[in-house]
Amino acid sequence: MSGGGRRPDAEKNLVGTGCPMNLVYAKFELAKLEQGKILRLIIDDGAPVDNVSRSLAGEGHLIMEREQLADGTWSLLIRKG
Amino acid sequence: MIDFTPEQLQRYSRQIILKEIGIEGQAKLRRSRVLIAGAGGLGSPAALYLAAAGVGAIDIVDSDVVEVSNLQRQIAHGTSDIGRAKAQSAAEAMLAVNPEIKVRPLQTRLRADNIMDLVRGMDFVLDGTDNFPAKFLLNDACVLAGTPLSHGGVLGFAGQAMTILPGRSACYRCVFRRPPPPGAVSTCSEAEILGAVAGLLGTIQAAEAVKCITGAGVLLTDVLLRFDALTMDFRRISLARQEDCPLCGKAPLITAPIDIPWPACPGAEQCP
Ligand SMILES: [Zn+2]
Repeated sequence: MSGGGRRPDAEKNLVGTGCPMNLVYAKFELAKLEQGKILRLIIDDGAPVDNVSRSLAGEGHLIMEREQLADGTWSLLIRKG
Repeated sequence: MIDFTPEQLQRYSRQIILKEIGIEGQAKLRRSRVLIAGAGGLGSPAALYLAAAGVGAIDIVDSDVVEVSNLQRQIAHGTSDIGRAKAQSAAEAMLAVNPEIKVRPLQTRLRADNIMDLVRGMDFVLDGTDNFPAKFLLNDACVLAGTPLSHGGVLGFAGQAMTILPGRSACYRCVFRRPPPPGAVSTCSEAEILGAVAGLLGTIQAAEAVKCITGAGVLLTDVLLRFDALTMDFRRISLARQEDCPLCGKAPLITAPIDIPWPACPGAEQCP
């Protein structure tokens, strides 16, 4: 996918952080980055990955990559919009 | 500048997740200074909501002390506050909700000689006063200082609000040139009010303050919002700046705040 090869500028592991605090932390990490920078999130399967992806996309950020990891959690690469 | 503790992120989480506010909006709220004029029926809910929302510095002005007849609507005060300064009582209620903010209680009357110092440097002023001279004084000072203002007024079951961006939207004097002649409204009927109606309006004003500070949405500018809680009708009356406004028009007559004489209610304490 388009995110391949691009190293994230920041990372946050949100595994075990429920809704809506996972979204709060995702927004907090993005707020600390400049536009165009990339944040990698590790986030739980199910509602967390779906809700956070949708909310961030709705706020103008680009979900560059969604990849499910071996343990079932997801890695998201998000470019700050 | 974007530094929040985990506890702060928790405290404000429900508004940080709003697209229109977010972390940046929360940081703006924390940096902002708001003046709440009046710690009564409008000022009480507004003060509590703005404190809860994390407005960084709030000045709250009221010259009165808490009376038992206030408690039906002035929800920042409790029965044990009777006899205490309203500004102090409200400040304590605000800090009880949110000890992170700075609150400055000011037990003083709004006058032409202190109003400019009170409104200058504020990001927003919220009019929670209960008399026409104070409303005109606040409007005049805010327009002269260039400070955004939420006007609010309630009577009985009715309320009205408008937000004023000086030099950009209609001011209170564009709509209401001068106070009604003293005695035009009976001073006792001026006091009739359902507590929840004051709460509705003060809450609308608090929402306008948050929107203005964070840049969220569209303000009640060039609009007079009027509601009647008996029928729950809400009406929007379109307004426009008036070229002949004595304050913000082309040739302003008012260039400094002025005290407007106003008779006190004879025996206000005896009013029902
Ligand atoms: Zn005007």
